[in-house]
Parts: sequence; C-alpha cells; structure tokens
Amino acid sequence: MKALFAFFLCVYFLLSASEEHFPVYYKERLRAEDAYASLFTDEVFKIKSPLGKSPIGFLFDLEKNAHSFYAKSLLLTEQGELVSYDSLKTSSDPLHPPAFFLFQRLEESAKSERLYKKRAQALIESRLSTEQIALQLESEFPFWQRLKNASPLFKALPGKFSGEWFPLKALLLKVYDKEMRKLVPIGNFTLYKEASFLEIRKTYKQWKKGQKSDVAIATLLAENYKQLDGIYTSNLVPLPSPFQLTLESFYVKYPWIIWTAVLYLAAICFSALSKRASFCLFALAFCFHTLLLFARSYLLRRPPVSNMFETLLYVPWLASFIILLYREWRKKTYLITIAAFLSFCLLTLSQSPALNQNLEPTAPVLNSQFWLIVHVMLVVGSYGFFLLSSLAAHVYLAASNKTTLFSFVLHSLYIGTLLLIAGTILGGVWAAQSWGRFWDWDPKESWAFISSCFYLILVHAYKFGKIGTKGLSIGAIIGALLISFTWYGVNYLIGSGLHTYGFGTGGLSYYLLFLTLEGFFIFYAYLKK
Amino acid sequence: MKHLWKFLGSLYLAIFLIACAAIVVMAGTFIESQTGSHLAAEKVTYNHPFFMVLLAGFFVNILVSALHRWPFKKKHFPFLLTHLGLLLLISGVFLKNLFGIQGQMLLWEGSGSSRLFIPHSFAIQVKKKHEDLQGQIPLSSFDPRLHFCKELPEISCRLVGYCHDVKSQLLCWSDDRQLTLFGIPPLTFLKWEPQEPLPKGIFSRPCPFYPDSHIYALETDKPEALIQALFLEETALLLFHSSTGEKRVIPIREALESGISYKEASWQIKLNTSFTPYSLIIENEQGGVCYPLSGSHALLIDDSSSFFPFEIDIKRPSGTLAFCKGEKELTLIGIDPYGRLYQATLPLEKPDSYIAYDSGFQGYGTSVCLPFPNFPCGRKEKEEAYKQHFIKEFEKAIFENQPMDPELYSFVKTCQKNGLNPSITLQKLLEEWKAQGRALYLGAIVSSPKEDFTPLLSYWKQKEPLKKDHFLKELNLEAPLRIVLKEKAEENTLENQTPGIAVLFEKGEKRELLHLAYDPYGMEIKWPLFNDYLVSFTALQRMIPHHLRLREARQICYPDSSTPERFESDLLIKNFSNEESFITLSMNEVHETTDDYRFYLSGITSSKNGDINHIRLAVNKDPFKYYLTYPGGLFVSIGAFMLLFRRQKKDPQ
Repeated sequence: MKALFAFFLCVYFLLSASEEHFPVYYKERLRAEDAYASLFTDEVFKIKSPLGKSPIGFLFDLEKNAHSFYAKSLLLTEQGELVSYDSLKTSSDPLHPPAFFLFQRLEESAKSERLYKKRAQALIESRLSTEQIALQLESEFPFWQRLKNASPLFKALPGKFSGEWFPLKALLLKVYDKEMRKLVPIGNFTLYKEASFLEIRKTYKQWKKGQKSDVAIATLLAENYKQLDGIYTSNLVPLPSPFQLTLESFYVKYPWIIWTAVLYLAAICFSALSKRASFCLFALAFCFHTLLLFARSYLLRRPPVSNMFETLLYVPWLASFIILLYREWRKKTYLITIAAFLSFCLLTLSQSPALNQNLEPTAPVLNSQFWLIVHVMLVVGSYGFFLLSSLAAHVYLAASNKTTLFSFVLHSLYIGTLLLIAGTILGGVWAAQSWGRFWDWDPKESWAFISSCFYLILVHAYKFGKIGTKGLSIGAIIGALLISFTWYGVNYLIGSGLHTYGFGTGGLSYYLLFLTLEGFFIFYAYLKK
Repeated sequence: MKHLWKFLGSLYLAIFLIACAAIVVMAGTFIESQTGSHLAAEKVTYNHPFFMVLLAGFFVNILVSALHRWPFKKKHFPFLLTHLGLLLLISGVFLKNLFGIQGQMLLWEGSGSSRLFIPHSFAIQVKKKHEDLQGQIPLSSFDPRLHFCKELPEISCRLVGYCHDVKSQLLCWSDDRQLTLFGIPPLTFLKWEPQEPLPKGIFSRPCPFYPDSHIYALETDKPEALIQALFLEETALLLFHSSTGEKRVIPIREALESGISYKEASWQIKLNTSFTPYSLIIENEQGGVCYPLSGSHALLIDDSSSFFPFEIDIKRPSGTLAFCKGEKELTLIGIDPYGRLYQATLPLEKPDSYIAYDSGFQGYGTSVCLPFPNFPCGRKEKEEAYKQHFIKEFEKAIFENQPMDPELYSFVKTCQKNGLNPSITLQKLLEEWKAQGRALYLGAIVSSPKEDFTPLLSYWKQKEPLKKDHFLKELNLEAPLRIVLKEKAEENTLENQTPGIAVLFEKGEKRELLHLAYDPYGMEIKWPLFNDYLVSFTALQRMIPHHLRLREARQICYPDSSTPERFESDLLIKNFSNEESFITLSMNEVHETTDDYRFYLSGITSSKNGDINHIRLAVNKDPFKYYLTYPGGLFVSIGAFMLLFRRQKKDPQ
C-alpha cells in the first residue's frame, strides 16, 4: 500500500515539475500542444516523426514558415511514396492525402490575406468614407471568417465572445482602422487582458522571425492560459487545468499500454521462476495500469467505459484489482498469473489498429456521468469477473484440483452474475430515461438477458446439486463465451440496435478460431476423468 | 395434482423455461442481424404468443417454487426476496404492456399536437370535413370483414386489398408516378411524346377549380411542345371585321395550316410557344403583328395599324390545367377558355414555404395564380375594364385635383412639347378610343408621333389594373414534406416499409374505393371521401390530456465541427386545465407530468433542404414502474446479494 502511494506521489511530483503546456483546440477538445501535435501529424501525415523532428517541433516549423515546406518531400501518398506538395499540386490525381489539403488550406489562407490587403489598399485610395470602407471590407472579408480561417494549425487563442478558439496565425492579421484610415495590426480578440495580448502578439511575431525560441512562445502561452480560470465560460469545451495538460502530454508521449502489457507478460514469465519477482512485476504493471486508466478518465472527465477500447482497458484493470484486493487469494501465484494473462491478452487486443485510441468526447446519448458509472461500469465489470472465472476454470480443469481455485471460480461467477443482473436492470432504468422504454429486446439487452439466463441456470443447477465442480467449471467457460459474444459479437457481428457507440467490424476469423479452441478444450475437459 | 404442483415449482421446469427463453432471444438477435429489422425479429420471437406463454410460465414457476417453502422461515428471506423481486419485475412489465401507454409523437417546429401514435399498429382515421368530428377504425390485421366507425356510425369500410410496401413517395404531390393535389384524388403521370394525342377519359380529371376544365398530368422533356398541343386542342379563332361586320370562325389548326385570307391579301399564322410572352404571330410579306397570349397584355394587340383588318378572339370550350413533369421541375400550364395561357414552374426538390396547421397538415405549400376567373373575361371585357380604369385615373387627376401621377405628368409634358393642349389631346384621345371600340393602342392619336406616348402606355401598363383580384384565381398547392425525387433502393427491412391498403368505404348507398398508404404519424395529406370526409391510414391514435407544441429543436455541435454534443428541444406543454408551461427536453433529460405521462426526446431529424427540424418524442405512461418494476429490480439485486453472501459463509465446500 505504501509502495503504491509512493509510486503515485512520485508520478505526481514528476508531472508537476515538468514543463508547462498550453492547450490547442482540435477535434472537439482542448489538448496539450504536444499531444495535439502528435495526434495531428499522425492523422494528417501518417508519420510519427516527420523530417526527423518531434511532432511539436515539426508543427512549430510548419507554422513558422509553411512555404518552405511546400517543395519538401513529406507527403505520403496512397501508394506509400513521399512526394512534395508542389509536385502533387499540378498532378491530376484526385486521391490526395490529407496533408495535401492541409497545405492547400495554408496556401489559401495566406492568399486570402494578401487579397484583403490589396483590396483594403485600393479602397483606401478610393474616394470613400471610412465607414463605407469598413463596411465594404467587412462584407467582402468577414472578420469572423478571417479569424477562423487564418490557419488550420494551432487553434490556441480563446475567442472573446463565442467560446471558439482561434489559430495563432490570427495574431498576424491586419484590420482597417477607421480613425487612422489605414491597416493596423489586429486588436485584442481574445479573452486575455490587453497587455498580455500585446505581449503574445509581439512575441509571436518575433518568434516567426526567428528571434525567439519555441520554448519562449510556448511558455508565454502557458502562463497566459492560467489567467483564463474564471473568465472562460463554455460548457461545450471545458477548460483543462494546467495539471491536466501536463498529464495529457505525459499520457500521449509514451506507449503506456504496451509497457503495461509487457510488464504483465514479464509477471507471467517470472511466475515459474520466482513468486516474489512475479508478484512485484504484477504490482508494478497494475500501478501503470491504474495510472493510465485514471489519467484517461481524469482527462476526459468521465469513467473510461464509453467505447470498445476503453472497456478493453477497464476490464483487465478490474480483474487485476480483484485479485490484488483479496488478501486470501493474493498469495496464490497462479491467480496472479491468471490475472496477468487476462490483462496481457486484453491489453494486446486493445492495441488493434481498428480501435480508436484517441481521447475523444462521448456520444450525446452517453452524456450522463451517473449512468455511465452505474450501468456501464457494473455490466462491464461483470465481464471482468466472468472472464477471470473462466480462466480459473481452465486451470482448474486442465491442471489442478485445488478447492481454493474452484471456490474462486464459483465466487467470481456469483459476483459476476450479481453485477450483470443489477447492471442490466439499472440499464433498463437508464433506457427508460433516455430512450423512453424500460426494455425492448435490443440485441445488447437480449444478450445480457441470455448470459444472465445461462448463469442463472448454472447457479441453480449447482446449488441444487444437479452438476458438480466439473460441470460448473465447464459452465463458467461456456458462460464466458456467451459474455464474449455479448461484449464483442453484438457490437462487431450483429451490429444492430441502439448500443451503437462501440460498433465496429473485423476480427471474425480470430473470434471463430477462439471459439473453436474453446470448443476443443471443453470437449477435452468433458472427457477427462 | 400433487405431482403437478411439484412439477410447476420444480427446478427442471425453471431450467427448461430459462433455456427456452434464452434460445428464443438468441434466435431473435440473429434474425435481427440477418434482416436488419428489429420489427421482423420481434414478430417471430419476443412478441410471439409462445414467448408470452414462456413468461407466464416463469411467473407461475417462481410463484409455486416460493410457495413450496411454506411455512417461511428466516433463512428463506433472501430466496423469497429475490423471487418476489422477479415476480414484481415480470408483473410490472406485463401490466405496463396491458394498461400502460407507449407511444410516439412527431412534431415539426411550430406545430402542436396532443395525438399520440402507438407504433406498429394500424387504424383508419375518418374526419368529417369542417366539423370537429373524428373517428378511428382500428385494424389489427388484414381483415376483410366490414368495419364500422364508432364515432361516425354512418361510415363503414371493408378491406379489399393489402400490400406490404408502397413506395414511400406515393403521397407526394408529384413523384415518379403520380400527381397529388390538395383536395382531389391523385393522378398518374403519363409519358407523353410530341405528336402523340393527349390522353382522354380516365387519364384526365375534371378540375375542381373551374367549371368544365380538365387536369392532365404528363411527363415530357419538351414542355413547349405540350403547350402547343394543349393550345391547339379544340381552339378556334373568332375573326370580326369591325367595319363590314363580317364574322368568321376558324379552327386554329386550320388557320395554322392554311392561313387567313381576306380579299386579295393573305396572312400566315404562327404559334410561338418557345419564349414568353407566348403569342400568335400574324404576318405576311409586309410585316406582322403579335397577338400575345400570356403576360399582362394577353389578348390585346400592341399595334392598331390597318395591317390586319380583323379583331381576333380565341374561343375554347373549356379551360385546361396541365402538370408537366420534366427532369428537374414541374411545369404548370393553364389555358383559360379565352385562350389566355399561363405557365409556372414549380421546383421538384426545393419547396417554397412551410405550412403547419395546428395538428393538421404539415408540409410545404406554394400558391400559383391561374387565369381562371369566375366571370367572363375575354378580350372585350378586359378592354372595357382597362378603359374604365384609365378614364377614372384621368378624372381623378384633373377634376379632383389630386396630385398627378408621374406618368400622367409626363403625358402632359409630352403634349406641351409637341405644342398640343393637354386637355384637348386627352379628349381627342378618349374620343378616338371610343370610336375605335378597342383598347388604347400605341399611336392611337394621329397627330402625335408614336414614341411620345410611350410614357402614357407604360402608365397603364405599370399600374396593371385589377390584376390579381379579377383576372387571376389563386390556386394553393400543398404537399407533404417529402418532395425529393431520387432513385430509391428497395426497402427490405420491415421498419422502412410502408404498407398500403385498398379500402371500400360505404355510406348508405354510396361506395368509394380508396387506396391508402400507411402514414404512421398522420403527417401526410388526408384523402377526401364522399366529399364530406377526410380519411388517412395511420397508426392507432390516442389523445392524451396534454397538448405539446414544438418551439425549437436544435443539435448543439462542438465549435468548428459537425460532431453533435447534445440534442435539445424547447416545447410548450399545456395540460388539461389549460395551464401552459415551457420545458426543454434533451437526451437523458425527461419531463414527467403529475399524471404519470413521461416525454422523452428520442430523435431529431432535420430535413435536408431547409431548416425545419422535426423531433420524435417517445411518450409513455407506466404507473406501475414505481410500485412494481423498479422495486422488483431492487429486490432481485439485494436478494441475490444476500443469497451469495450467505452461501459463502455457510458452505465453504
């Protein structure tokens, strides 16, 4: 316990001591700038470190002098070739990669600003009143549009009135001043104080000219960002705290899930050699796991159970947690190994490229913290128990006849059933709240019902002595297959109904292979005396 | 008896029932996945009587197995609690299905309703026109017996036909196959090629807007040819020589072919329908005059020169209204009995304006002015009207000393410029006019050069006297919202199918056959029946004691993105005692009234073309929820928890 506490304290200090970050609005969320950069480059360029730079360094360079990038080889085409923007611009290939569109937008916004200046100059020289010039310019180049379209990069400036975030490049805009009768640099359109805005604008210009470093502008933005607390009001895009930004950057920077999975794997490997080492590794893996799960829910402000990927993180965590929680079972290394195995498998699955691992806000229907916690965490939690129970049953049937192992199978099955039934009924109450009916045989509901039925039969049959330990163990395995279908099959194979948030396709052949193997195992266990 | 009692509460029965239910449900999900239709799965599984029997079996089994433990002891408590919970849960669901309400309501922005529709049910709604009398004939299945309407006992109906899916666009006012106009039965669009004769008999319908007129619905990509064909149909030219008094009637086809001859001279007649104003052109080697057929100057010749000695009138036995469907637009062509031609283009896809009556018609409407006045308005009548108006205007300016119109003023100026006395010239002008016995033409006054009176001409041109009120009759077209004409894939899923029925209505001696397409929420046009009633084929309808009006529905997106963050709708809700309150519904935020009605926002759809949103509200009334279903769920959870805990202590193997 102390070790655990020390671990998290260490992480916390490490985070607070690291450099400060500023937020950038991208894809419905405010993200730490380097988290934004790596997501952006990954999505747009499909390259982890473009031109040998870190994503944020690369994006800073792009922001600074986009035109010098046009001719460089950095667009990855569909065929996997690297070509330059200039060469693609003249080709007739309609299948341009997103990076091409990025450059196109950069070019267009620069062009539109040039046009604006030219037009303004022409109007100033004409015989029009200042009022007319201002109105004419506004009608041709609406200010709002100019702010918005100044650049597709770095939306890091909070707008004064709209809760919208504007690109850094908007700082360079010139606007027509009615009193001075000429173009002047843009005034404060942000939520920041006048002095801070002027400083940001100055620094940004200097930075563009190469007189200031990347760190200088980043620090300045981060410092100013702290002022926003209290004056920024937008419920749509909540303001992350500086600590959240640091945490996000930290979360995105390293492949935590892979590390965790590797640690679990190591725990499995060491179980044959040293029980103590195995336990230590498992505990460390669990720390990592906890950290990444909590970081995720802290960043997204909701429990981490709203899509397939998140449930794949949550279920093994819960399984490991259960194993660690009970002092009685912690000593049994095979249980640790079982939990490590489950966690390793599921975490590996979560790395499938078909799953969206990004930090995204939820679908409107899931927008209820309370019900997410109550319904989804209960139901998905029950999956953890069932899977553990099934794995333990495998070991029990194949290798050992220990009663402790069997009682673990039985009890996790009981708790799983309890959670599943309670969670499903509460799901009905939630459905009555958001869909307007308690129960309507939606596939997910149906399969929750089917699994509950199966476990009810199992529990009754065992309780009244109709089946023995072997029967119950085999039942636990079959039950887990039903659960796997409820979890994966409904979303990926049936693909209809109202639980659409976790839908996807693919993996059918692997799933069938898994079912076949389990079928063989059940057959083997059945024959075995 | 004892055996039966034992069997009913036995574990085997329980296991058998649970297994059966699980298998049925499993089959249901696979059927749903295969057909893509929840409804289809529901029909063969969850809503099947067999499944109901299973549930009832459950109920009996649980009850009896609990009674087996009689007399109850303390140790039975968790078991009893769990099973009592299950009983409550099942009975709650059953009672809700029997006595509760689960319905849907569809509201367009601006519209209000207190009608609830029970999904996947069928009924024929009959409404007496102009009266608030409304009845409903529920249809449980295709049942060809005679059905009576409780509220309107004089009406009865018999189902004579049924189809699973009519194309959902059947009810639009113009679609691939038929034309629908407010108040008359739909008309099939016929393909028409130039040179073909116009369809007769059942393919044209008497037009209710004007006596003796006909309506055609034709599909062609050459509207000009159609105008020509329609115009030539039964039209004759009436020629009148004003000085000799000679009269002639020539069918227009003949006139076009052989021309008109009088004494030595002969004239060619041409019909121009390729550009507006449509006109008859009368010409020979010396020149030509134009006899306009459309526009504000229709039927009035612009030139009174003695080039053509006849006055022309056009005579047709009746007016004609034709809807001509082209690729992108619908052209409405109207020809009145005097030969006046009118054309309007109605877009097929982009509607004009949106109309929502109180819980009645919701759709797009457009109004077109048609040259179908209720009184004679041939050339002569029109000229007379113009003349009256002209004189009146002059009198007003001169005798009543009213400020001169700019055009009149310029007339006076023109006279002065030419050295003429304005009042004398005016008198001359009027005399000339009277003598001519026809409309005031350009250059009617001999002494003045033509051009100088252009302002005068434009004066009455601009005024266009009596235009809307007297000459044109307004025709209102109202169409339900779906006007889009795109190729449609076959609908396979039960949910997306629109069933259709053919119903024979009877009222005393009268009989009328109607084909009705299913319109679950009663949003489409109602069909007239026996001239006194309106009918529609909807879901079973139920009135609730609340009236809801949708003010606004919105989808709130994240800035700079089209990803929705939440859906909201503002509603005004009026209860039975007429107290009005304002509520905002969103997903996960429901409204519950004091009498147990709950309203949920279950979906927002915005129509593609415009900004009119509609919302779907799920409405239910489930008074048993708080007494049976939820406590049942709670008992089951607590009971199961206690059962498991106790077992852990009691038998550690």
